[in-house]
Amino acid sequence: MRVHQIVPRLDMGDAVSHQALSIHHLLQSWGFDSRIYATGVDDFGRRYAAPDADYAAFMGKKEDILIYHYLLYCGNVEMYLRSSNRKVLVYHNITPPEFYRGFHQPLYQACALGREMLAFLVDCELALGDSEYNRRELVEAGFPEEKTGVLPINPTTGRLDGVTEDRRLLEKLSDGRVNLLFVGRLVPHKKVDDVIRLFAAYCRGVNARSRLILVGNPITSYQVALASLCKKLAVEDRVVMTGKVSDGALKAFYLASRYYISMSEHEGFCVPILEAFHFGLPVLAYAAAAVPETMGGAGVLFDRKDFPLLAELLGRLDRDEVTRRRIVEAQRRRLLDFSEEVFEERLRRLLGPLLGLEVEMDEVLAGG
Amino acid sequence: MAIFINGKEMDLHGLAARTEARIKAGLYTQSMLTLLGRDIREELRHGSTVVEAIYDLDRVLQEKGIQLEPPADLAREGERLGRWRSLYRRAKTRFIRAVNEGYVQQQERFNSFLVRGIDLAYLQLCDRVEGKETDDLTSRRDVILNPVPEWDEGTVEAFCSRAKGKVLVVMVPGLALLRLLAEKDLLALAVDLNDSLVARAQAEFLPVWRLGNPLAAVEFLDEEIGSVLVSAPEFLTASELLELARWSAERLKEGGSIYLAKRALPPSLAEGEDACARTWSPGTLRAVLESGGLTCGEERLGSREFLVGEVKG
Repeated sequence: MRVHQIVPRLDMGDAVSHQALSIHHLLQSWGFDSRIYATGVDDFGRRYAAPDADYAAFMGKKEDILIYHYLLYCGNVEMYLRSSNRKVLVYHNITPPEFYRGFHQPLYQACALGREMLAFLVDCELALGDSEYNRRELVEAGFPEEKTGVLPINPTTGRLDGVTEDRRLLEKLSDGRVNLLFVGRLVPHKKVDDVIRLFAAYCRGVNARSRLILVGNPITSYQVALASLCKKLAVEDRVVMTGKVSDGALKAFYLASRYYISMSEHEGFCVPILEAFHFGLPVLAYAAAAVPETMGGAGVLFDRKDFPLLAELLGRLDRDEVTRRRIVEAQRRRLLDFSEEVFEERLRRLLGPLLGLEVEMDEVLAGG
Repeated sequence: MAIFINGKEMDLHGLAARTEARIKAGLYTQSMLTLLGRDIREELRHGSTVVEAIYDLDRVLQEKGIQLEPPADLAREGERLGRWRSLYRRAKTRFIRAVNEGYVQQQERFNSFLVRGIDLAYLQLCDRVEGKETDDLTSRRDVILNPVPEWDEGTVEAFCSRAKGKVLVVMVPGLALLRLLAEKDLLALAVDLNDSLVARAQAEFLPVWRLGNPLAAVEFLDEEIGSVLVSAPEFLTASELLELARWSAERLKEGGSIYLAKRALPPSLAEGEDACARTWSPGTLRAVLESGGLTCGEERLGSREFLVGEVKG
């Protein structure tokens, strides 16, 4: 029996790629023949993944298992639909297309198609969301509740530990200003514009000695709008948009920052929040989609975007070292829920029955 | 609104009271609050389109001596037209060939090149780069901390007694002036480059913003302004001074004045490689005020001398 995994891309540092690789390594350690296929790869992914067309040779094998990672519409979904393998769907969520309206038509269409397709993927042995929020979306799309479960992402929070930070950058950023940080693609659903608004309120009203760092690749139209907003709010010289950066630079940004801000209105999981937990940055996040679940009662959550009030909150945390320390401690405790051991145990419980492994069956499915 | 810290709901009364106090003090103007609530899609109308950005990218590259090489088949109708069309064609097909870039035939590299180009083009559009790296420009402006000499008590009192209506202060000559203006309910807004000073003022709920260009602040002013004080004109460029004079001529209330301090800084701060200030002669400042449509006079307040531009009756 082989276990095949199909992902759209297998890249270094990508959360879904990391999850697929973790599953791959665990399956191998349990003695299974595990393989990964991808439509696209970088140099790192090339070492592990074969082109997804290679999977076609195994589609007819009824004893094999296919784990299909679904996070955007991709042509290889045809293989999932036609495959005779026993199928496991891992749903990483797809952004509601409305967020892209007016910004990026191809992404709008891809997201719309991807969400429409979800209902056609119901025919599987097991459907997993990487959060309870995603699992609920599966159920709403028509997946039988008893066939669903939650397999949280195992974040690569420790991956920067062995990296040497960019010292020159760190020195430059450690100039006494309070740095607010956002890491992730600069795309509309992450509401980076609201991060800028919060920063503008903070810089204008509470602490002029501040800077906002936005790390991540943008989509062009949204970036143009963000640049225009920065200019309108007269903070363009205090907002740094870095694009994609090296690991050394990313580590320097985490080390030099004082807060991590998430204003996102749609997340299936949100790995950067856990990276910020790892680096001891208090996270202030808008409570939307899977974000509260990922934070698990740690950090700061709010249910409305009152920018002057939130700026005042940042000012208070600047002065209140005790509260700040409590937040960081709670965040560190939360990280323990995402250790490699917890992930292995959970994967074993979820896939065990399909793989023929002995597992305790209590609370395996339906969010257990 | 609810805020949860480590899962526990926070009492927001204190935060809300401080926020209200800042709004009342003028740290957040109504115009700014409106902008904070506006849909980001509105910005698309104000920002450049990708096509405009590509035009600017091409222009910037040309200014920097980088020529995009037009393919032979598209250069027939004239070199320049060929270059534009070539640019569009390459953008469409995601291939760019630049003399100093070599062949760039991969989508990812094209995209990152385009994004960098758009960054550059946008900054050019914002007129912020002026041929210098942004970081360099910022650090040059930030290099002199707290350069504006503090006014003595006599000057502060003399200015406050002369001020007509609400005052916009450009470059802050000490917090004492702001405190007294605020006490007399005369302070509309102050701007300064020194973020330490601004942070101290913010802690006292004084409406001070950290801004390089005062014209960025006037966009946010809700109140009618009676006086503008530029306590260190040396920190403004000629075009910023001229625009401020024009704005004053148009928008100051009747009888309003703009005060430009004469020789506010010691010459040492306006000289040398790292200095961002410059020495303006009184004659130049007078010419700026008159070009802006103001009548110009002189006045001594306390220990300082000023050029005073008044709105023509």
